[in-house]
Amino acid sequence: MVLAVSIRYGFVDEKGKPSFAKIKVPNGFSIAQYTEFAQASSQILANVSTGQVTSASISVGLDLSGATIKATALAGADIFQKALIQFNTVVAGFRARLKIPAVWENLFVAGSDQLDQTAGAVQSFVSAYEDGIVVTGGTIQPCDDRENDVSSLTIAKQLFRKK
Amino acid sequence: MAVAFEIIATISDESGDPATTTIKVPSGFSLAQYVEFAAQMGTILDAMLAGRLESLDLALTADLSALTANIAGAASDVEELGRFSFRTGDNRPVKLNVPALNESLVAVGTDDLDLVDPAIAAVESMMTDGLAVTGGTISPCDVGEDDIISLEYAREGFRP
Repeated sequence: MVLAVSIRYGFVDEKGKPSFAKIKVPNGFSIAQYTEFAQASSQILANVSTGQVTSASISVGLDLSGATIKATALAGADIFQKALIQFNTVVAGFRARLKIPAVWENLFVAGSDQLDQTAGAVQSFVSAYEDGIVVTGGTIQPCDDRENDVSSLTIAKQLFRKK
Repeated sequence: MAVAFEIIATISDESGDPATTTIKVPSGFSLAQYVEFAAQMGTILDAMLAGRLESLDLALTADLSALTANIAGAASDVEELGRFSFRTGDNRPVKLNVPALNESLVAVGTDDLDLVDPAIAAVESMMTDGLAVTGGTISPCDVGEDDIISLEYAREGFRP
């Protein structure tokens, strides 16, 4: 079943307490159209609230039918076992990092907490970050918060955290 | 400063517990291009996981700097809600709870919202008729994309 696009509106009151409202809208529109709706609807909601609308976040589920994904988690998979991966960006001092949960234990170098950078799966992931992924009409390369392109891997190690 | 979009991956482990990780990507591409990226990145990510990749969601934030009269007023409380209930074409309920309801929009002597007030009427119209955007109209729906067609009730409520 197709799941609707979700728009989450953040609110805050005079005391700084946060809250939110959600509206779902159909798929099939462009990012610009969803943005236009989010802005107009935010004003309508602000007009009935004495709080401040602080954000309107649009969440679109991406179709993974073209991806090859395992049907079930492997035995021993645990979301607490993560890989911390950090990249430098093209701007000095700015980094992109992520913590991937339930990483496959076999991808860590025996006797260490380092991800095995010679493993094909790790190399593919690092390449996707450093070189981007080719899509129709362009290449999408992961970046940091400020859209600075990733340049080089600096950390790839095991980490145990809930969040 | 450009703010990157996020692709949020939800991953579950053997016991079904979920966790997420976030991949930042530049804005400026089309949804179709992000879907292409997701299909490839999904395959790459899956190869690193003992867990199962459940979903990838694109998250972006709208610029709200043009909103007017958008400040937290004196004595505003997020616990005070405008509770709206709508019905879809298949008669499914859809709720909308607006925090920090402006009390002046409640009909005197009742807990019903004043449906003839332009601010409340605008919410009803937005949810049942949609909003015109460039090249179309976006009309709210339920999670299964069933279109909202009518207002069931609109009243004041409180959340503890």
